[in-house]
Amino acid sequence: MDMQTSNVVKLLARFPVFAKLSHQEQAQLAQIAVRKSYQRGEYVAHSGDVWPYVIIIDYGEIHAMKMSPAGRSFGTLKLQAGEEFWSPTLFNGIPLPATLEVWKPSAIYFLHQEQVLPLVQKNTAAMWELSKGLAQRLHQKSELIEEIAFSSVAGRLARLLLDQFDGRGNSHVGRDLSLDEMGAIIGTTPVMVCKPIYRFAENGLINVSRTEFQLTDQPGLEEVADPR
Amino acid sequence: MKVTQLLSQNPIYAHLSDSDRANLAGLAISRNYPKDQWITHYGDIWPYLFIVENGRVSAIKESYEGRSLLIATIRPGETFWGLAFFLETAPMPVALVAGEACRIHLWSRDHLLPYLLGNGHMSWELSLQMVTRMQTASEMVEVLAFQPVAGRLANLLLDRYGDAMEDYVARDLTLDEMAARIGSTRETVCRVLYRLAEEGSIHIKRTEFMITDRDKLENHAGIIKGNEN
Repeated sequence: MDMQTSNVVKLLARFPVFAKLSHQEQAQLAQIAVRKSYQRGEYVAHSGDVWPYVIIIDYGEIHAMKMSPAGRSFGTLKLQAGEEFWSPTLFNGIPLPATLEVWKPSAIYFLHQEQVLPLVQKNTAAMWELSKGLAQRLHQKSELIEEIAFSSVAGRLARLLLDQFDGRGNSHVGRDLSLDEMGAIIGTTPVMVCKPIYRFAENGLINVSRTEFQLTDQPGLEEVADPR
Repeated sequence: MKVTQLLSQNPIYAHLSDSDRANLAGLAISRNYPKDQWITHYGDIWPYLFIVENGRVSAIKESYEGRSLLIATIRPGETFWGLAFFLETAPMPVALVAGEACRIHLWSRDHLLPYLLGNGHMSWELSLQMVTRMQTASEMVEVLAFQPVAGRLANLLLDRYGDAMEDYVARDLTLDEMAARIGSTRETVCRVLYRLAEEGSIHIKRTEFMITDRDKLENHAGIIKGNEN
């Protein structure tokens, strides 16, 4: 086995479904997995595509985006390095419900339905892991519904900012998301993003400069994000 | 209906042998719930999978302010589960309530897991049902994210009462129940209902109402789709 195949086997073994396959089956998948690189702004697949793939994110960040007839977009799922995505097409032939858009330079492994399903379907432990993974995804979807239905725009924006500060581990973060992108993540328009940002600043929760946000009152922002 | 018969009609259990289905029927916990009785609460660790024999179960999310949102309706012959059935310590992300008087049959994770691990068809069919639920959830996300309350309410009225034209029908949903179905508040639903009435789409009395202009109501929903708040 060459080094590249060996690395893909190691990657596959980190995922509960593939970990249940034999080493030989993992190697078989590793040899036929197709790796593709993407630049920010490219599309991996479009909403409505009949798209029978499992993808594994090697590095980067992919967002599943829904588009409204009026051109607004809304992010329903974020996929990062070390995460997998099983297209619904694999299960019952239905098309993708969202567009997979590249938000950071990414490399992705593709496995076609015809390569994956025969191995997974004959392995009952792998099938159970697949069910568990889907239950988790369904749970994430229901959390998203809860967030949209019950949280205000300000609350969702506060959560987005807190997640960004958490991810960087400090109180300053660069403004690397545009207002459009922030609106797409929390399901609103750029104008509606702008208003609460400046309200947060007026209330002393954050400082806003042209290039960065500074967190000045974390408990206050958390109170906005989750008023419970 | 016998539990074995119910099982044989459900794709999840259809691949099992007759004896396995009979064994599962013996392991089932059968329960009757009157309308509005709680089956399990949000946050409970509830490691069960169930099938509805008759009636209807509602999966509901509740906000800390007391608002509720109907996430799913589980009808006769359909299967649903607690998250802890799959992920052992995971709390319920929704509450389950008898939407109408119902009889359900439950299996614990411990009882059903050996069958799932012994029969890949079962897990596959369960996965298919989850993907279908996910598709419904995805459509719900789209509606909540992009369609304003008036459009959602117009769709609810057309779905529920669309067959009754130029005839009064009982208002069998409270404002709270309407709000729970479309992800809004009772105050907003009330306001929008009266706006639709003023526009001539519907006519409202205290206990009943009538769709007076179906085209207008449909158009209203259609126009709103492209005219977001």
